[in-house]
Amino acid sequence: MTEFTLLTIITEDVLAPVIEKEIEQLGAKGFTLTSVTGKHLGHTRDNPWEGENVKIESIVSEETSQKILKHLQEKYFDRYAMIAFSHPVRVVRSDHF
Amino acid sequence: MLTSLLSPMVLAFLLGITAARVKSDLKFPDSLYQSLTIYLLIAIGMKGGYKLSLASLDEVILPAAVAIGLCCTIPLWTYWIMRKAGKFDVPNAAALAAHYGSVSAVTFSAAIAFHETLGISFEEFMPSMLAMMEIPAILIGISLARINAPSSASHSEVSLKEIARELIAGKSSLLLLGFLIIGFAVGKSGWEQVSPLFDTPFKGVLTLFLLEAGLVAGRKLSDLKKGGLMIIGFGIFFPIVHAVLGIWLGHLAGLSLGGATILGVLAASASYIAAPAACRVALPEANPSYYLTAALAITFPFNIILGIPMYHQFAEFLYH
Repeated sequence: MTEFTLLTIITEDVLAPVIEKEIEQLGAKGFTLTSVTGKHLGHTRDNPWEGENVKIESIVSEETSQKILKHLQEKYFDRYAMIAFSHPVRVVRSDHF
Repeated sequence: MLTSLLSPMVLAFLLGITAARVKSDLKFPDSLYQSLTIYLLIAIGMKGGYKLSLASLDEVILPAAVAIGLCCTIPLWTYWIMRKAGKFDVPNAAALAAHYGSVSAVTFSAAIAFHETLGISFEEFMPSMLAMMEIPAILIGISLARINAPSSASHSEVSLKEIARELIAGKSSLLLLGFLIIGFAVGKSGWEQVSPLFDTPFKGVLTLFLLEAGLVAGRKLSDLKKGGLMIIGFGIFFPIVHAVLGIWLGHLAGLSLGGATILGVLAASASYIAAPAACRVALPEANPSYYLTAALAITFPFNIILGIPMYHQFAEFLYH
């Protein structure tokens, strides 16, 4: 088992294609994307008419995680609904990440 | 007016609004909403393409020029009015201009159903006008924001070319244009093979879709206070003015009463599929509480419940 960082980004579905490309450019080797619903600061995004949320998860090195979080903070945090966080995980098949 | 209000489509829409207001647990699965959208776009496109193959170039060319003219100029004055009278900032005025210049396929479908129910004939190639009018206004709205606020352009790195590509490749435009071409190519024999699926059940599927649309519009009504009185006023003022203009120009372009009314409905409608997604990416400074509330909670219900029969009355007045 090797220790890596699980990076989780929850954001507006319209941003998903751009963010997928950007996190790969910043060093992520892959990601998992799930449609999610939720509520934050009184604003609910839970239907395809108004836009939904997606959760993008990627297992990366701590250094890549920091790089991606910094990029997201600079580019998206002030104008889009987005939360991002990371935590350590222990994985098998470490060569995948 | 009463015939329109008592149609299953309008009543289903009103039921949807009511269900949302009483906080019913009624909810359409996302996959059903997506499936209904795909069905409606294919049905509209294919029938429109087939009917276009029966029309002569002379019949189509003037209405098409009017349709393009409308969707390219509506965003210009909408933007100007929103800036001057509405006091909206550049991104919000531009986003509203993009929404009002573009069109709503479901409002269009409701207008088709209205005319069929009343037995009023119309040029059945009108779906080709719907296809033409969807994208230009969105690009014009986004361009207006970039021209008038160059500093904010740097906030969104997405190029206009990329937005145009995404709009054309987006499901609504791709299906509508694709099936217009297919319908045009296959003609009568091809249309007859699929019409049991795409023609007869059309109004039933539209009824289902409008129930879902009512649920969303009903939920969005809670956002009216965020949008303010100005948004409510513009959300009703713009469709009426645009419908009158569309009907009058349709009349001048040689369309029948039904055809001109449908052109008026297209001019009056506001986009809520293609425009919101494009504006969210290209104009992140614009507030969705304004443009989504205006398009979804005000203009869309207004057109479905009152607008279409009102526009028909105006066309009757103009033609007789």
